[in-house]
Amino acid sequence: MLTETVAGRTYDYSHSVGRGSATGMGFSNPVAAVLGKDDILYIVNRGSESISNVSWNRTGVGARVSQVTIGDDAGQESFIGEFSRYGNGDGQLIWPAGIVADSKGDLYVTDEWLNRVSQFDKDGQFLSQWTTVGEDEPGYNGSAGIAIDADDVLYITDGRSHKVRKFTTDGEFLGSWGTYGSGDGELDSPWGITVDSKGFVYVADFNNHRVQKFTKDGEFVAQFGSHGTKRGQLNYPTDVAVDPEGDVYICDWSGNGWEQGRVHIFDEDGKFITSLVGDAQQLSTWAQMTVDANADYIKRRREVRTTEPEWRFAQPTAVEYDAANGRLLVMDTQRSRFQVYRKQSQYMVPQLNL
Amino acid sequence: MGQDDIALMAHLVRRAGFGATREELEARAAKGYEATVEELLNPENQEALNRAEMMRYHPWTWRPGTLPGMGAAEWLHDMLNTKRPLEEKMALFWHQIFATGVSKVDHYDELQDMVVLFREKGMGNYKELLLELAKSPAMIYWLDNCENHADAVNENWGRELLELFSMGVGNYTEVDVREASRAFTGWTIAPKLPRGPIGRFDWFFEYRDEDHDDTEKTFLGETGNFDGEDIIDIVCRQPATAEFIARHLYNFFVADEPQVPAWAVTPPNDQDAIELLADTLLELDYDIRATLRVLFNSDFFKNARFARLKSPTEVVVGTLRLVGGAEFPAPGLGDLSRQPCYMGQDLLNPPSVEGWHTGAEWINSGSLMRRVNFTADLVGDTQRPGIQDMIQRLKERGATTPEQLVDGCLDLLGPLEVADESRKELVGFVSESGDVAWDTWENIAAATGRVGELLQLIVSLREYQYA
Repeated sequence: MLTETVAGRTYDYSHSVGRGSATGMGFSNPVAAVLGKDDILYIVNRGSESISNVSWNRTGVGARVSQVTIGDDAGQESFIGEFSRYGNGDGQLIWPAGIVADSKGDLYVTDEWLNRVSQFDKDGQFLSQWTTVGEDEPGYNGSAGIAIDADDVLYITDGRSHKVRKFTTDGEFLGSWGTYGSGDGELDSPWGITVDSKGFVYVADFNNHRVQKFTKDGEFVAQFGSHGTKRGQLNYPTDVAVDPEGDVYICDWSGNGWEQGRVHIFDEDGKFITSLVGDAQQLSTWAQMTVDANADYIKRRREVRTTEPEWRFAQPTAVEYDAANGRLLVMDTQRSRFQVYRKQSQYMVPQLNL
Repeated sequence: MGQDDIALMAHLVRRAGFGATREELEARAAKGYEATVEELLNPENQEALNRAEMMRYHPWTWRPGTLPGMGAAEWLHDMLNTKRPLEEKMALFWHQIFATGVSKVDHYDELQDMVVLFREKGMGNYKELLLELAKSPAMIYWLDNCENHADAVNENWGRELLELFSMGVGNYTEVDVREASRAFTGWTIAPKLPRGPIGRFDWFFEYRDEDHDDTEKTFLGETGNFDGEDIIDIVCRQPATAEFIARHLYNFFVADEPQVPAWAVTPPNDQDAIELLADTLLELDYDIRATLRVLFNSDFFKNARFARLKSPTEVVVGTLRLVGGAEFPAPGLGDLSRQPCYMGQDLLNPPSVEGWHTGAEWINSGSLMRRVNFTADLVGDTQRPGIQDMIQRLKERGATTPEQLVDGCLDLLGPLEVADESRKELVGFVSESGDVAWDTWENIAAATGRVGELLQLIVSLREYQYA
């Protein structure tokens, strides 16, 4: 299904993977993802709180890291496993927020409540953890988005003290940049972050409604987007990804008719190209399994005049580009799934009067 | 600025909001009473809530489904952080009257939408609010108007509209109920995607012409081919409606009244006040903002200090705003949002369409214990910014004797008026350890601890339960 064709590119919706589930085949408010070794996609689930007569650090449900494969098409996805859980013990997560994989395949998961990074091997075995709160930089700290460059340097956004911090994979602090504000290079609750193939760092500047591009040392290079809800404008951008051709993908919470959320695509020079609003016209295989097992769901679904509200993104919180397969993965957070798009480059549009 | 200015301002913001810190009280008192009333009545001049922070840190609050009892987490956070306290208080007011609950609706998000409606229209025109309410999917499902068909009338919505949402018992007949219900046939909800497997979807109002009883009705003495809007028009022309809403306003903002079911047989505590408010409503075509202006500027309001028992929500939100430190939506927000429930007010889940019984009925041995424990825990946490501020002020005032400490704490917690007997008890407690001093770190630490204990005793008093 052709969904969006623009200058020299087209984005075909492929399929979606996931359904709401606090464990196993499904996700629970997925907020970040990374492709790791062996084509495994690791998905960070934020989960939710629940009520129980236990202490605050035990009341969460669904927080974990899921391991899945995507497959080439609907029905080919597989649930591989999951690790970690809600809690503040070693290897546990309260507010999991971001994930990257290093060159060995080890995984680094940020926690924006515990202000720490937990390291796991590719199979989910807990290896170590370290704090992101520096002795020389006290105060609020919320380790949110995380990115890694070709030299295995980690870049971590700090949503509550408005910084980007750099660390080695062992947690050694290498430096930071950013102060609170809205000028060039200033930040207001930064969230998602990525590093492109040339080593530039892109930060979703959430409350400033823009993405900023920096050198790896934090020198301001450019701004993508400006505040608004019109075409090409940003409204609470949550994450950013860059493909090998330089196209920049920004997901944010602009309205798209039924729900809140779009993925805006800019070229490497910051020119707006197009937006995606979510195209999941078919339920994912796992979601369909749930429907098939519930006769009342089937009946009610027959009555609705359109299923269009469920095609759309609802507060997408992460974008990941699968360079090996030319695919864009959008974490459709409130729908507990991700939508997969295929990019075709050098696309020639046929003549209009064909 | 006199002490009484502060006390009066504290009274106003306890009722028209959820209380305030001393710093805010002083700033408001400096502006003046009437100017503050105007500021509260015009919330659009204050910064609106930013939902993005909640969505970022607690994405589960977006459409919380029926996660056990936590659907009001976002609302509680709003009440704690709003810069528009009266707007939020009015949402609570209307929620108490147009009581709709998750126990039946089973979609917290639809109830949240209702709160948004109350926030947006709650200080506007009551007639418009009623009309929006009649189209609210949560209300339609709650009172079965989706089962109200041209050829099979369901009277639930029609009855409650008259009994609990406008006129009150004794002002209409069973025939009126039937006729009103007929006029609302065809006011229903469009089929929506079912919950799961990928979350919840919105409900939308739908008018089905083919299911509407398009014939003549006779309602409250008037005859015509009425639809729901006409019924609301007629209802609002009745003085009983104005009196009913006036009595609700009085009960919520001024002083405790008997419970609603008794209103048909028990006269108001202050008939003149009710008449003034009702006349204002009728004269100004149900302009709620203008009626509130009359209310807050009236002597009967100003003289009604501590004449109402705080609702559980007022206890929780008011104390948290006083002590501070709960502005950021930290983990545990869901459990925090349950606190009013533990004291008898499960927000978004009232016990019935009649809402909660108020006044003395808030209190039983269990709920009182919950109130005392919750508030005492908070004020005893001397690290909280609001308590730190109180300690700093006591220090600056040079409060060292037991009497000075007790009077200072009573002042900073309200100002709170307590019985002489209670004050004596408090002074006696502090006297057990003698005077305090603020000169060395050790003495300051000791004084701080004793202030924390004193504050805990004060919020355990009967007087702290009154607004």
